[in-house]
Amino acid sequence: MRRGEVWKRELLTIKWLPILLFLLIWSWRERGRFIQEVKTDPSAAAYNGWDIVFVQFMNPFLLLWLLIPLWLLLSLRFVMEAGEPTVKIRTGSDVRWLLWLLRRSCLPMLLLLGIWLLAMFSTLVGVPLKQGWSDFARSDHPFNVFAVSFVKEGWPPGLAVLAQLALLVLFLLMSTLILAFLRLCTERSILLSLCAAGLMISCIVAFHRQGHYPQWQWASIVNSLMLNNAYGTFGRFWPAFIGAPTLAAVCFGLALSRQNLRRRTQGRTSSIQGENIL
Amino acid sequence: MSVIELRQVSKAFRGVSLLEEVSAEFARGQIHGITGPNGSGKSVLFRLICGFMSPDHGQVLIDPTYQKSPGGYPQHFGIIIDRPGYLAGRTGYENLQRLAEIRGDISSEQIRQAMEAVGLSPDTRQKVRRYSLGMKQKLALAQSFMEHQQVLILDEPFNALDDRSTAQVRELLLTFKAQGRTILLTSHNPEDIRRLCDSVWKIEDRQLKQGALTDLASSATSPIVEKESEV
Repeated sequence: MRRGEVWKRELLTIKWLPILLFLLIWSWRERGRFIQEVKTDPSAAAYNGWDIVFVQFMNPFLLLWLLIPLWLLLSLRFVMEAGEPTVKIRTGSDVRWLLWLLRRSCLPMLLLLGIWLLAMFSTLVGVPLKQGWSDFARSDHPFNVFAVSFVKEGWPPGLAVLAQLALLVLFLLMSTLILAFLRLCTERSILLSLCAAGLMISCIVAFHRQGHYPQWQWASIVNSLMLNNAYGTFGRFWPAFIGAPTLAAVCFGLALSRQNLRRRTQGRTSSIQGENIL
Repeated sequence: MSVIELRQVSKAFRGVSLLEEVSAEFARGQIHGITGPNGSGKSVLFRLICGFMSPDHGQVLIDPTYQKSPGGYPQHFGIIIDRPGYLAGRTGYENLQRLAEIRGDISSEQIRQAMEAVGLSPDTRQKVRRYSLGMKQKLALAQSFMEHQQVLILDEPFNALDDRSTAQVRELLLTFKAQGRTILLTSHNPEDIRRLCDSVWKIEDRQLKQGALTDLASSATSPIVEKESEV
């Protein structure tokens, strides 16, 4: 089947429609709130489209209460479906199954993020999307809290959006990978559901406790999810990119070890190459 | 020449031993029947063979033609283990298409042929959630051989099939055997074993014992089989 057909089939599933509607309503509400706030503040400097984008794009509440739980639900269903023996045997091995699953989950993830970006950028109708940061982004207005770290580091807004998207993709893939690895170890769906709930709860706890317990900063999931938070904590962006790849490497490493352990109890019959037990 | 060999394989779950030092060899190009009461470990045995589980002791050896990467799952194995899950909101054809996409070895036409071979129409828009148990079983069979798998591991392939479909599937399995494919199947019906199998194995007292096909008629009236037929 051609890739285009797979995309079309996934896009036509009904679940994306309510998500798109919700995000459109939410984005336009946020835009209205932003414009209203700036209009009523005589000290506010001139803004451009990027300011409206960043207010939505870096919104922790949207990430925490919509994108993460939604993705965990989608992942949970996807991992359970993919855990069928008829699927696994076609992939060849545990590690190949994990890779296949990650590749397959990219499609719904890109659609989810695409819909989010579409809703967000639709609010720019009538607002100029200039190339650089606005005077508003350089000011100390509370609404530019999401952009200020990028302005400080001299990152152009487009690059900041791409970097944040990459970070989000890493985080979402990592959560899928954790669930998938657990599926390799157990077939009990209740444990998978508990793991997804645990991931969600740890995100909420990490977000809400971040300010109160500075010693938790390095463990904070939010810092691995939002670049401006990572900058606030570490004074640079790159630490945010460490968490997800490290956990992914651990999952793959464990799956590989599991596969190697199985070699001790698995081998080849001696029918062709003489005694050949690996 | 054996395709699958078990050497002193033992497996226990939560302290309950299911298989103890089981040894067996399954020859290429034959149909091997495995019988045993419910919960005796037939599905576990199949999971061990496919590499979804590791034995506590012993070794599962697979013909190198099918075991390219040690530690991985054997290749060209078609399986029905337990009851395969499907995407309930998709048609049978779409479900098979989804499975075929993983390896990308076969065309849409070959998927259609596999469905037709088990008596399912690939063109029906009926979703799998509306399928009867028998139709789901046929779909499970179709996926197990649609990619020309050379070794078929079939856990109760005749479950929920009516007489006509049973005869059709028996015919199909015999055709596969004639093509040189190896088949391991479990069945509670001695008739299936007697008509199809070249060898019969029975899981009894945590052991896999090779039996004689001629014993099957008498085993049909054994207490175990009577009990299963009541279920």
